[in-house]
This record gives sequence, structure tokens and C-alpha cells, in this order.
Amino acid sequence: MINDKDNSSIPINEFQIGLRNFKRNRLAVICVVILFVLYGIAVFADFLSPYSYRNENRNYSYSPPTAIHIAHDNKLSWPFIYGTQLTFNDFHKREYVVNKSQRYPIQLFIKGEEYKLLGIISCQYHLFGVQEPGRLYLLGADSRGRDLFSRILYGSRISLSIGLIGVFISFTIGLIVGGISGYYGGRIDDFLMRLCEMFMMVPGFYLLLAFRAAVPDNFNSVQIYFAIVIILSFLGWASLARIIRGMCLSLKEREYVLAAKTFGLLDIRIITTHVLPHTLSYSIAAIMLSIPGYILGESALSLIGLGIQDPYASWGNLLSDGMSIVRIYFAPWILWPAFFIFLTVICFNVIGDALRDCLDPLLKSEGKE
Amino acid sequence: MAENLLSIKNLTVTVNDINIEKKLINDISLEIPALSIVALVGGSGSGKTTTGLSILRLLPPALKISQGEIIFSGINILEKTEDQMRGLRGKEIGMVFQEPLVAFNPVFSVGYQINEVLECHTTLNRQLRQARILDLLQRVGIDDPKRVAQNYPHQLSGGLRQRVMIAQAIAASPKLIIADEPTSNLDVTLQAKIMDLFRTLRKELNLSILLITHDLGLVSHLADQVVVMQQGKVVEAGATDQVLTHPKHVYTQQLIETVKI
Repeated sequence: MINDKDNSSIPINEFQIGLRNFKRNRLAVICVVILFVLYGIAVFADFLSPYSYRNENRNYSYSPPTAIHIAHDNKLSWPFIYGTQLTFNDFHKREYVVNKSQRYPIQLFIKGEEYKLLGIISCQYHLFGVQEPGRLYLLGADSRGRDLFSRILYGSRISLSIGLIGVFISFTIGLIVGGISGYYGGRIDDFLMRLCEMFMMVPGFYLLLAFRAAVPDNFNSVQIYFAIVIILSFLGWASLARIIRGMCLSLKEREYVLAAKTFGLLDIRIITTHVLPHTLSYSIAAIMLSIPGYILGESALSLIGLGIQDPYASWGNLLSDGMSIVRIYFAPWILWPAFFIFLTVICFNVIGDALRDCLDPLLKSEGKE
Repeated sequence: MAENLLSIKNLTVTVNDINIEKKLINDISLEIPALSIVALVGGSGSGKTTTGLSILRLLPPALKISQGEIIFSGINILEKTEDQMRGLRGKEIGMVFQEPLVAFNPVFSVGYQINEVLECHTTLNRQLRQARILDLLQRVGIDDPKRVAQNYPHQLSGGLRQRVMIAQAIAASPKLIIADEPTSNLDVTLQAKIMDLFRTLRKELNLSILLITHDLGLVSHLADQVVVMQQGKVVEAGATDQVLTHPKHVYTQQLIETVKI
């Protein structure tokens, strides 16, 4: 009798070997940590942000990032900010004059607007903030004096979740269509593949616009959100279905598929347990590599004003403020959302590459050891 | 003579292409009486495996049955719908493959894969299925069924794998087992053990076995009847003793010669 405990330290399945290889890739591990932080921020956005996404103060239109001071009268003190006052200079340009007589210390766990933590628990405390009438703008303000930092945090909820939900829907469709197409072959295969090609032959962005145009314009923001998710996932499934279909064509010739047939298993069962699991090492990497597409797709739609609508924030529609070069010139901080998009996309790509390398040795990219 | 469990009459299998006139199996007939072991013997490419797959109607799409009847317990299999066939496969006719390593799905434990067959053909609940799996594994001579059931195919030795494969084939208590070269990849001592296993299983479970093989030594130990195939045709058939001691056809004589050397 073999003692099972003896085996616990050596990796026994592909997953553990894959995990070990993945950990060797430092950059990918860092990216995983960054993504965890970003998604954590999205979940706790209302607690971490000093203001809500719709809290505005028009006296602070395009207020630059507030300077946080730690020294007052050459003495070290708890971080604080000075009050500022909006004035227009001789050229009618906004100028914020620092008023050194007003000091607002930054307070932790400050009482502010009420929100529902995790959607359930009613809570009033924010991680940090300043007492009214002081306004804290970590990353500056937009035209209506809303805190860009808070809006980026709230926007991350939409921008980050759209990728996950979109990829989930399109991969479900892709795996099912690809699996059926490859397994049955013949006319079903022909029909489904021509369908895929119909989706693939139209340039993605125009198809995105066409679908968006088909969505009624009286939708509320939640409906628009789901409409965008569905539109994006409709674009993504076709290419995946084609690749999965190709893999299934060869996988269905394996002897265990024949064996499963001799035991009289249902076709759908054979597809889901004996064919599709073998495409997973490819699909997992492909999932990671395609999430950025959804995030960018949502951003692109929102950027041109067809996606998430004001006052709701997404990284895309926050960026739409920066469509005018004049505004970028006098308020460059409105480009901050682009940094977050960039960071997220890079992280997903690095992780996707790393996963592909460690899950599928055959696909290992050239030039690496 | 007992009633035949399976009889194949004038079966012809051709390439499924009107431009090619090639008969892979040419007008063969064979009979498997209930509770007997019939060996289908022949060289590579003689159509043994194709015959076996025809019985389950699982020929690759490139091949088709163009003629003949396959009658299993009084019913012509070729007239059944695909749904009825699915009920038959595994439930009435089980198959044991030559290489169990590739006949098991590497990503699931063998217990899971036996469970799949039970789930499909029986109405047993979860606990009863678990008990049945352990019982099946014990039946095929595995001492610690609990551990084996949790293992993945690659973690088992060749002999164990073949036993598990047999357990999977008999899971839904079929009447006929098609064993496609079940011992070709095993060493001699294991071959003998697997043969013993087939013999006891036949008695315990009232099985009939169609043994597809090229190993005449195996045939002489196990089979009641022998059917010799060459290039898609049956060249000789009869009781084992008779065929092996007094072969009539030249090809049979050649086969026996090779074993003696």
C-alpha cells in the first residue's frame, strides 16, 4: 500500500507543475499582484474614495491635484491641505489661489456620504478625506469639480468587470460552438463556421458601432452596461470558436473519445468531458490575452460617448474629457484614467503570455529559455 | 447448440466513397453462441477491429456497412436508430481496448470515468454508484479499489490499467464484451492473469466474449471457437481444438507455423 502523504511534496498533476513554472516568472507574479490590488480597489471603491462619483462642486472646476503638505511654519505636522480659491486671471484662465489661513488635516476613517459596502452593509466612513468645506483632489477635478480619483475608482468597477463578464460570455459561446462544430463536423460544422466568418469579416469596431446603434437609446445605465457587455462578447466568440473547432477536429480522433462512444455516453457529455477539457491549456491563456480587448472595447465606446453615460464613470468616458487638446493643455491630469487602462491591459497581457508559456510547452514563445 | 447471442450475416464494409470500390470486409458471417468465447484471429489489416466496431456501429465516417445483417439477441442492430444504439453500447455490448493508456481520458480519475458509464446506464444514486465502482474494481482483481479509483490513468501500471478498463467495460453488466487485443501490450505473466480474469468473469457475469487477437497461444487457452480472417474474408471457422490441430486453410496453417517457431 502506497502512502499518499509521501507524494504531497512533489507536483503530481499538470496544474501544480504549471503553477510552479508560473511562479518563476517574476514579472507575471507582480502583474497578478497589481491586478488583485486593482480588483480589490474596484470592490471597495466606495470606501477607498473620499467622495462619491457624482459629488460635484462647481467652484472647483478643473481644480489641479491638491498639494498635500507635511510641514507648516517649518514644523513637521500631520499631512494636511490648504484651502484654495478659484479666480480668473487677466486672460480669463482659471487659477486656484492657495489660502494659507485655511488648513484641512487629512483624516482617516472620516464620516462622509453614506454608501453600501459590498452592496449590503450601510456605511458612512471613508478611508481618508478632509472636513468640508475643504476639497481633496488627489488627481485633480473634472469640469464639474468632481474628484477624478474617486471617479477612477468607481470607474474601475465598470471597466474591470466588463472584461471578466464579457470574456465569460464569449468563451462560453465560443467553446460550445467550437466544440459542437469540431465534434460533429459535416453540415453543422459548415454552417457554424460560415456564421463565425460573418462575424469576423466585418472590422470589429464598425460591428461594435452597428450593434450599439441597434440598442434603444432610452436604456438606463444598467441596461446600457449589459448591452455593451453582450455586444462585446458577440464580437469575441467567433475567433475562439474557430480555434477550438480546429483543436476538437483532432481531439475527437483520440481513442478515449471512441471508448466513451462505446460506453454509450451522450454526445454532449463526450464533448464537455472528453474533448473540451483538453483545450483548456490553450483557452486559459487565450482568456487572459483577450480580456484587454473587452476593456479597450468598452473604453473606446465610452470615449466616443456611446458607452457608459455621465454621471456614471468608466475609464473610457472619463477619458472622453480629454478629447480636446485645449483641455489636455490646461488640465493634463484628466489623462490619468489612460494610465489605469494601460496598467490593466499590460498586466493581463503579461499574465496571459506567462500562462501560455507554462501551460502549453508547445506554444512557448521563441527567444525564451 | 445454444441460441446465438450475436450473429453476423454476410457483412460487407466498404469505403464510404462512390469513386472507390474497396471492400474492407467482404461478406463475412460469424456467430457467437451465448456464454461462449469466440476468437477472431488474423493478421494486421485483416478487418478484425473493423468487424468489432461494426457491431457497435462506430465505424469511422469514411467507412460504411453496405450489406448484411448484425443480429444481437434477436434484433437487427443495423435497423436501430442512433438513440437506441446509444442505449445498447455499454449497456448490452461493452468494449475493451488494446491500449488502456490512450483509451482513458488522462484528465479524469479512472473512478470518475467508470462512474460516467454507471451514470449513463443505471439509475443508481451517488453512494450506490461509488459502492458499485469499488465492487467492480474488486471483481477484476484489484486489492485496494479505493486508491485505484482515485488515481489518474498514467499513475497506474499497465496491468492495473487493463483491469480497470475491463471493469469499466463490465460496469453496466453487458451481455457481450468485444475485447480488441486486450493483452497485446502486456507481458506474458500478466497476459495469463488477464486471461484468467476473462474466464472467471464469463462464469460470474454470464458474459459472451468476442476476442479480437493475433495471438494463437491466447486463443488456444481461452476461446471456444475460432474465426480466422484474412484480407476482409473469413477463411476458416470452427471449434478451437479442431482449427488449431487440423487447420484446413493455408493461411491458418501459416499462422500456426509462426507460433511454433
